Amino acid sequence: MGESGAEAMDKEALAAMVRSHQAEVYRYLRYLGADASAAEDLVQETFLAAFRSANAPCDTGGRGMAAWLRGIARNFWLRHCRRSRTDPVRADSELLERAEGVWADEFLRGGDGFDYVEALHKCLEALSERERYALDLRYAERKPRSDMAGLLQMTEDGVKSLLRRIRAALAECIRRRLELEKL
Amino acid sequence: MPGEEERDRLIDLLLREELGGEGPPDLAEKVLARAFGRRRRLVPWLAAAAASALFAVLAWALLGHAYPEPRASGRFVVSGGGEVQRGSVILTEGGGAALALGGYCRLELEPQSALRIEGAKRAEQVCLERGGVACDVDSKVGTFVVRADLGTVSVRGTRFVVRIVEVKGGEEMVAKKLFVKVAAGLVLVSGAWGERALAAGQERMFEAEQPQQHQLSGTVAMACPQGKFIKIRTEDGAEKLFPVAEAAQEAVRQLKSGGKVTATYIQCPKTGKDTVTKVERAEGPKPEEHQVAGTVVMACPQGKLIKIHAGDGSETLYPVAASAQEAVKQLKKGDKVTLTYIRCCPKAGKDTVIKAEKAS
Repeated sequence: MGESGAEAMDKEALAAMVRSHQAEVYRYLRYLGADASAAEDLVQETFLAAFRSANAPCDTGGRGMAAWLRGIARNFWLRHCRRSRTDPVRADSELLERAEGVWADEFLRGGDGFDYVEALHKCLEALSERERYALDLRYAERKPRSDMAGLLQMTEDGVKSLLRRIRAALAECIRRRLELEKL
Repeated sequence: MPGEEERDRLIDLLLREELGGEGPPDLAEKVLARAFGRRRRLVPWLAAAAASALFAVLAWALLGHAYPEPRASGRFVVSGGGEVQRGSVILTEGGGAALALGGYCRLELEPQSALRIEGAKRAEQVCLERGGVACDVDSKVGTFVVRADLGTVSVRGTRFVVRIVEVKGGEEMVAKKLFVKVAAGLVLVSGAWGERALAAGQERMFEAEQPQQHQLSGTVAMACPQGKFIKIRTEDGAEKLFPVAEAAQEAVRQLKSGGKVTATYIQCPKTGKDTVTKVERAEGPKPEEHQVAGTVVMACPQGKLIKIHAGDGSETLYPVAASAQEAVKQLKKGDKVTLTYIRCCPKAGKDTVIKAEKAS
């Protein structure tokens, strides 16, 4: 533990910062492509680095702090990808910038992403029975694609395309809803 | 489309959370342990002793003797006096108070709050009547619920804040909102809006459904001078007496019997009575506005009357409408002003000042 960290932040303050932001940092790392285990490790590295840094924004609960932590997490993710020799495309900094853009501008929209999740709930209600069934098989029941293919009477590639089409439709539905709400 | 891949990953992630329950884990303890060092490992004999002690505590708990009673500390009073126990209402004024329930719920009550202890063993519950409370609940011990007028917050191991926010819209019109902020874990908030799950890092203000607005047009059968009641006669001859919300009382004070009006009313959530929130006169054009410039001879401290010496040498005393009284209060003798007044204000029957501007 660096001394600057100890001076900059005590145990209470660190606990408060972790509890306020850990969920978002974890989600962000999963969104960038980290699996659950890597995301858990990198979340811890992110907060330890933040704890040791003397440059933390003053407001530990605010959006400025969230953006700062995302920046640290992104760097750790890049380092992790390079160390594990992950596909260089996933660690490309330009792609990461674009990912940050979608995360900040479309998902968070200056808040904590609640409006986006709320819109997702509404859009899920508007899906057809077959689409909802496919999502439940994939996400709630965690069926492998081969099982889904049998249940939906389609090929495995067909299942993959169907899921992608449903996600694209949900993204478009959410975008329209949020645009309407803005008006 | 730019960002399509990222959008797909985002939706995939949210579906895993929403449909598959793959929520973010609570890593606070791990981070704190790494930042501040883990506790030293117990030596074997100490570990054995600790295990025995734990066994004894568990046995004691299983026999049903060890369930902790509610405990409170800090600056609080118990409504009606007596001990802190189930059924007690804890009131805080200037300072906050801490409350421990069942050994697994730690509550910090904000100043100016009122909270009733309810619930049972391993099913702790409180009713927040006023103010706010921050809750830290250990998981896998029991359930915990915060009730409020507007809704219920249920959890199974989390840290969150519940606050009742009062928005005053008039004498009888206090709109209560329920603010919930989650620091860790997941909470379920249920109320008139249905059920909403809030995850770590999320916050939300919940409000009761807006009461439905109705309109009634007719003639004024009676408007009380204080503006607190109005009776409206409809075309079919029926009369209805309404209490008036504070926001509309000034407008009601300006009405006179026989005038045509359209009243907007709602069912007051507090009294259950139909209450007028807005009145609009339905007759005639707006009264013509006039201006006069002069020097203040007298401005009464309540701002209700002003006398000015005009350029033509005349001195006139004007009643002042409520909308201009604050400006008139700021004036003193000798100030140069421009007054805007309307002829024949229905209530006063005189030219009435509706705006007063001090000349720079």
